[in-house]
Amino acid sequence: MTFSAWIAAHYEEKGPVAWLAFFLELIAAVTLFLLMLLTCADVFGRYFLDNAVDGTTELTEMGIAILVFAEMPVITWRGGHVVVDILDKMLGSTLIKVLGLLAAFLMSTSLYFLAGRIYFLAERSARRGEVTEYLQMPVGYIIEYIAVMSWITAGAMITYGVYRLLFLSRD
Amino acid sequence: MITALIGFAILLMIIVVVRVPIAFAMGLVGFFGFAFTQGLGFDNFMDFRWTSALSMASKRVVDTAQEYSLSVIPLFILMGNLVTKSGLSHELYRASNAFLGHKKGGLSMATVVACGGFSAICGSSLATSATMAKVAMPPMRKYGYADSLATASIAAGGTLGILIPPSVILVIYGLLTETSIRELFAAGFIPGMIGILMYMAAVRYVVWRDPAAGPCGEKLGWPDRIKALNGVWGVLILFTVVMGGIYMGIFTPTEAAGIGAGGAFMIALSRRTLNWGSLFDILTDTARTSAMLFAVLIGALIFSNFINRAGLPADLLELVTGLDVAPMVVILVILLIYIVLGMVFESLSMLLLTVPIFFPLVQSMGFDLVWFGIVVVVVTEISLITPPVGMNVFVLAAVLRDVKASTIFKGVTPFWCADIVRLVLITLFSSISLFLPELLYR
Repeated sequence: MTFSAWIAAHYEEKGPVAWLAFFLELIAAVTLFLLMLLTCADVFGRYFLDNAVDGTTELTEMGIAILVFAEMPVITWRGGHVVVDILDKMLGSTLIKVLGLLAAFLMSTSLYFLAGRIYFLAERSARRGEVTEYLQMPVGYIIEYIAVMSWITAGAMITYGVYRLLFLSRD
Repeated sequence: MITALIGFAILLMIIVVVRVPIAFAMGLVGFFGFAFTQGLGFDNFMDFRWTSALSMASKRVVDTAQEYSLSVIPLFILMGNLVTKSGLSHELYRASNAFLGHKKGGLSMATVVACGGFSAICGSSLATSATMAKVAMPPMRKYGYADSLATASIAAGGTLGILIPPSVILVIYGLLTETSIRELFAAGFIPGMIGILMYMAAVRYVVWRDPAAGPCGEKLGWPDRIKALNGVWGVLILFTVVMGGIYMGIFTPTEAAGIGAGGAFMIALSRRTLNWGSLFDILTDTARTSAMLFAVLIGALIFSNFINRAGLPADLLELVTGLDVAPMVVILVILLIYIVLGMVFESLSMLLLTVPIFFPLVQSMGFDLVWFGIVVVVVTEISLITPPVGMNVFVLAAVLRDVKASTIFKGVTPFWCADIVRLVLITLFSSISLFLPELLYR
């Protein structure tokens, strides 16, 4: 199977969006795998080689942020967040779509404004030159990343997420 | 108190009627509620200074996404997913079947035990029952077990997933209430074992009432039993290392989760069940679940900021003290609320909505938060098999397409009663859950 055939078979998204989803999930998957290796190496090193991996805590903290926010756009546009659906049978599919649009609007707007503030915090942290305690890495970058990914989530939800909701959902 | 209650009512309305995802609903209500406590009104909506509310929410996002102790969530889920994919569930079932299968209702009892064993690796109830359904259902069908008993033992056994450590729900409870995660893990162990025993008793009761529902399987000799045990050493070692390491204080829950995931990875490698594609699937699946949980957690934290700011916990305490009733009565009322909410809400949503409200009250009445966590998780377990919305039952009905949800609900009744008995025991005798944490850490 060629690579692009694998992507097409593996992702419900079409065209460039499938590639975007794959790219983001690849980042998340690699980060997760590295997190696992890092923790194992740290514990192994501490107990058997008397030498823990320096700055594990800081790297782990960054790792989770990268992992979670790389995946955030994908699960959001796929409607992967927990929804309470006990009234679904009474509401009817048209109304559910309308409510879905409303939810998409609320989610994108709130993320848009929130990301603005997060970006401000990132800039402030960069201006003050805040660095992590051990590895001396600038804190601002990772906060900036969270802000940018929130914007991407908001943008993808209001465009592709709405498109998927209107034209691609099964029912 | 009125502010907080109105906020809660609005929240319920937008998650149930408007179908906004619960993470965003809690975040939005928390955000606007917070702004309201700072003087937001309809007249000053346009020129309100949003900065402090926005900063509160942003801080929550940034801090939670980089919280070190939260890395247990992706790593424990990864461990569960790796073990699930490597087919260990088959061996677990074969081993418990070798010892129990020849008894009346033995295959169902074996199912319960195998579910318990699987819960020791996997922290999710839905995953446990979905996995065990594929493994345990065919043999029970072969021996002519009634569908109601067979499916009910899987649905009930599956609920143990969130109680027997490692458990994702316990981690989330620990983070919401700032309770020690390793104490919670230690506390969940004995109630989980009691759960297995009581479910087995429930199976005995069903076959005593109707012997045709669970006929005996074939009896195996000791050599065969030892051989069946051979298949489960991987799980046993993994559980011993991970939980033993946490219990003994050799490593923190986070490190244990990393080691567990690494160990599960080695097991999966040694069984040759991994290739690049399936590894990618397992990793992305884990990442998706984790991102979803993080979103919900961030929303819950923003919401609980507002609840505290609006003074609900203090007002509730004042109200309860004014009533002049025994503290245990308050706990019983809380449990009753949980059972009612459990009929309609899915487990995670129920926990996130209620714990921020109840835990300060429970704490200031002098109860132990570790104990309360176990009680809440057991109630949540019950909600997983309580009609009309019992998620475990629905998952089973989706996996086994030819069994109706109503059949499973009918079969699950004795198990549900066993659960209620267990809940009462755990509530009245706090030492059942606190024995291990006290022994190990206090």
